[in-house]
Amino acid sequence: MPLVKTRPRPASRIGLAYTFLGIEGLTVLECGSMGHTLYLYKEAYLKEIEIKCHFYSTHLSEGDLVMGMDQRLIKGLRELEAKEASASVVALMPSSLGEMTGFDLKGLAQSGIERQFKLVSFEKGGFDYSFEDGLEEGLYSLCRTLVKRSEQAAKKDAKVIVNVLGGRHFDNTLDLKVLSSELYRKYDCHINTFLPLSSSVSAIERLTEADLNIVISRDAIKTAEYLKHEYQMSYIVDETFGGKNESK
Amino acid sequence: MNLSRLRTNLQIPLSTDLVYRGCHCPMHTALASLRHLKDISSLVVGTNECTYYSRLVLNEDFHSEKARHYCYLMSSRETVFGCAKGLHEAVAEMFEEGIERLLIIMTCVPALIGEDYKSLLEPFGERVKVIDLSHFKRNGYGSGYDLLSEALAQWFLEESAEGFRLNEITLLNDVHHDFSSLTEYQTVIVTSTKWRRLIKPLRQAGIEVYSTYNIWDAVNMEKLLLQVPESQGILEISLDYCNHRHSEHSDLANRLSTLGIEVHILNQDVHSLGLSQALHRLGLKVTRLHMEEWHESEAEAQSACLKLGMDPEVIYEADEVFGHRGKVRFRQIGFEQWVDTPRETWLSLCQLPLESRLSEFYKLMYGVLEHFEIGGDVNAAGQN
Repeated sequence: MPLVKTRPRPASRIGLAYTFLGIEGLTVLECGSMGHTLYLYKEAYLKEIEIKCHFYSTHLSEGDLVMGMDQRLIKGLRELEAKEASASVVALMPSSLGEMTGFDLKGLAQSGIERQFKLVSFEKGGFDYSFEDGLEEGLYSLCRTLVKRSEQAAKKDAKVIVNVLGGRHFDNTLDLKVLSSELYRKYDCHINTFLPLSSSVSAIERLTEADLNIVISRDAIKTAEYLKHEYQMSYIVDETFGGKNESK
Repeated sequence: MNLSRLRTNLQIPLSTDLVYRGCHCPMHTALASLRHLKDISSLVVGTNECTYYSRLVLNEDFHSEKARHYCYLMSSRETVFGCAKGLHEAVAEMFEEGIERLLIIMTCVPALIGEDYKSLLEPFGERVKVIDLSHFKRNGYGSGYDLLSEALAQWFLEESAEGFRLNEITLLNDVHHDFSSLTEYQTVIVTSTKWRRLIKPLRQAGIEVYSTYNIWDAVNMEKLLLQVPESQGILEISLDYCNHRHSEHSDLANRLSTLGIEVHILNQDVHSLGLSQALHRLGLKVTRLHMEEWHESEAEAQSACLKLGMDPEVIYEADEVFGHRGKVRFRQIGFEQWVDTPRETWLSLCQLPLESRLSEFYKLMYGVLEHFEIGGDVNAAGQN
């Protein structure tokens, strides 16, 4: 029965958005209603999640739904180039309206039009995908597009450098200080970045400088597998952090 | 798009191709208003995005004995084939729980597939109303109030006793939530733009209705007082006060008109067509106008503006960081530098009773005058 009497579980679009929230230097362009973008701000505010990326929306009209959203999006990207000179990576976030009209974000991202920024497209923005699917795709696609093979950085000491992957839960905001101290106590390691909890575009590009990935939630396993396969980075899964009682 | 060519809501262009943060959708304002209406239940129909976010505004915390606020989550199959059967069952279940009236709110996806919910829900009779609040059909959120108030009017006017008006006059303002009592009055004065769409149905029910939300100068205020003498009591203003304002108005108009000042009204709280008439009469040239929504009820104000010889560009000012949403901007024609009055100033003006609103408005305009004459601080004058 689709009558929901409390609050529906969020779907993949919100999972995608949650992935982007903590990534500094990322610009997100939502291809849909500006009302959704504003709600995203409102929810992040209510949950005390810091928004490090920049969210924009194309909005849309009846005409766009009939004639296609290509022109609207292309104009939006043009304006973005003018307004955000520092933008280097733009995530094209889909919505269910775009999915209904069959708008091809991937095609646009790969169209080869020369821009000052890199475009990353995502597909799981509409129906039938869960919040966790959105988190998984968000992390995976960003890493696939941005991670660079880098020279191993000179180590300050013998400690292991790790990337912490995952941890963006829906109903539990992890406290990074607590998480850091627990990881330090348990693994005696330096932390390169928390992705996606608190990271940046440049930190994602330098992900391979670390020795190991620690996966703290299942949605990051696909990304860890990718990094292992492409860059020979080992990973361990440790889901003991951020139990429900540990919410901020 | 110029005012003279504006005929539909869809003609109003967004001020930008790239919206930062943006504006709420009409579902938001309708749900926020429903929080105060104790006996009306709601059912938001849509995909996960809209139903999920709708619970940020209206959820089980606002349930009462006769009201429930639920949502209907459409599956991907239903976005193609419709949700007639499921919706019918959901509505029946809500009535089994003891609700009395149900407002069904259609969001973007059900509006896009165009399913006819009104005929689908006919078996439930007048207890169910359907409103289409899809965001792609408009830029702003004003129709959340508009369509909600129309649905409310249908309910309470049907139930009211015809021809019997117990009381003389009342105000319909931002904090008014007992709509069913409106039919007990002979005269209603609408002071908030939120409820402007109630004017027509109330008039059709034989109630005299006047509005003050669109009055920004002594000329229009005097017109209202002459039409409704008893409103002097409820609005706490007199014709003497109007006369005083008239002389102030003439003084301002004489001095402002020599300066050649143009204005952009980009504020969403004021009735921009009403304010632009007042500014025009003060000798200012309104060249750009933010409009939340165009509706046929605005045709009279639109035609009044055109008769004055104005034809400003109409836009929907959406951008909050790079744009100037909320501001009213002044500058001398031919100069680059704008002088901005912030949203807060205009929001607080809108919330004042008519007499204080006009006093403060004229003070603000004296501030504008001083700025362009001797370089004074516009906003300091507005706050005094």
